[in-house]
Amino acid sequence: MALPTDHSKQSVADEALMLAYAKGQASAFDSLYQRHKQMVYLFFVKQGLPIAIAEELCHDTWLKLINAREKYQPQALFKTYLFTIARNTLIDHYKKKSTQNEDNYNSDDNDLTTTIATTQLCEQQQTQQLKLALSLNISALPISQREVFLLKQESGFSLEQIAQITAQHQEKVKSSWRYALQRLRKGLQHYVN
Amino acid sequence: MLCNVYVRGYSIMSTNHTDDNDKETQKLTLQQQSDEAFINQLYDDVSQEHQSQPSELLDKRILSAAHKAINKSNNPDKKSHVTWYSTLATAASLTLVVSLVVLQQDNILPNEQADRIQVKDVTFKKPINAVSAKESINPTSVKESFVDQEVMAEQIDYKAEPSYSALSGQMESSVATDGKVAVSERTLRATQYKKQSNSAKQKNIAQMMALPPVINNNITEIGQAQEKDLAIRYLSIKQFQQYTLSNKTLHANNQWLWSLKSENDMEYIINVFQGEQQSLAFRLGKDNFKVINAHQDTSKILSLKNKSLPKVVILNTNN
Repeated sequence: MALPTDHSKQSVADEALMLAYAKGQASAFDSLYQRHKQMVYLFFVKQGLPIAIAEELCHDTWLKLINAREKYQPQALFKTYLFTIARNTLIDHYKKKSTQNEDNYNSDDNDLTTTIATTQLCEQQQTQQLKLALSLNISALPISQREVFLLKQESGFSLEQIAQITAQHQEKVKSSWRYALQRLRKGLQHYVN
Repeated sequence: MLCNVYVRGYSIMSTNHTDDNDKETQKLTLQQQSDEAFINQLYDDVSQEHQSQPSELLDKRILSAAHKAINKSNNPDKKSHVTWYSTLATAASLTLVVSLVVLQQDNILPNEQADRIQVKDVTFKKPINAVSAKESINPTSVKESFVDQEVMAEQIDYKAEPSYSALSGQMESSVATDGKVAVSERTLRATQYKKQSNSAKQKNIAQMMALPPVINNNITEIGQAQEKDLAIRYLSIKQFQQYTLSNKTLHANNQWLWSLKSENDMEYIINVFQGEQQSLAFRLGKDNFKVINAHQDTSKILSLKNKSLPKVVILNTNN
């Protein structure tokens, strides 16, 4: 079954587009990429990674999807499949990085958060500052909480889908979500009001 | 009745416990909802800002990779697979063959060296120092003796060299006026001669090494025969006189008591027949004896022995 060339309309499901791409219809991938590129990109950027690394991980994720196109089976949502790949790519990246570097990175973030919190800025800059503080607090979360938070808050997955992506029990995902919220609220409390 | 009381009490306790759990769950749920609302509010505030996008370069890289993958799968390069497998198979086969040949050469090398030693012995006519192939051969000693003989040959070449140089020197002294030119030319010629002699020697060695196995075996047999000849005793004058008389009698009937077996620069080796099936070999020094062919026609066959050996007359040169 050949899909129409213009896939920009959301009417064609992601899964159908992926199957079409696996069968050799290159334009189907273009539509898929346009739909999900920002979400995948933000998933990496919100991890607190530098832009260059986030882009590199984003590139790796899409390449893995391209190489595994013939193995794709539409048992789950395409979005779930894509973010499973993205998460594995991120884990590989963390494995490559030494733990010491990551600790330094996180401690630097905490120092920066404190600095930002103590600085009084004009109202126009507050929104920008809030955005920065939010991303820094997210990156300060433990990995398991951070990925659950981002998958739910940024990418819009349900807890059940996140459990599927992360290959964890749903209760554990629920607990990670709750703890992540608590930590973020505690860290960002003084930015509100 | 007691049982009913216990059941009622347990049910009341469990109900209280469940209530506590429910309250705690509700509390947690409320807390979570509150946290979610807080975060959502934050996100609403932040989302007014423009969300960042991946760079255009990244977009191009990913999309081109996707299109290339499809083009590659549509036109699979089967040749490259075949070439890869065939190349690997060829390399493996070559490695196997070379290793087998090398192993085989290691096994046969001592025997070949022994054959070459015997070839050298025959060439130099020094059978006394020859190493017999029948004897047990230590490869190292064989190699050393081979090298020694090579050194001797080289020394002989160098002995011949000065005479040539002297000759060229005479010619140069009569013709050339510049001494430096003469010396340099002489040196050049000497070097060329040395190179020629070395190359000729290497060529000989290479030819000997390239001899086919059959020729090698023949030469080995000759070497063995020469070695065997060394064990033959000399014919005494008394024995010679007795055999001469007997031979004269036999010669009348076109029968011969002796025949020439072989000869070299120093001596003859003859067979003296004792009967139809027996013969004795003797050595005759060329200083004392001379062997002459009895007939020009060598096609005639000796009647005593069914072998084509030359009929000879032996003369004592001392008398």
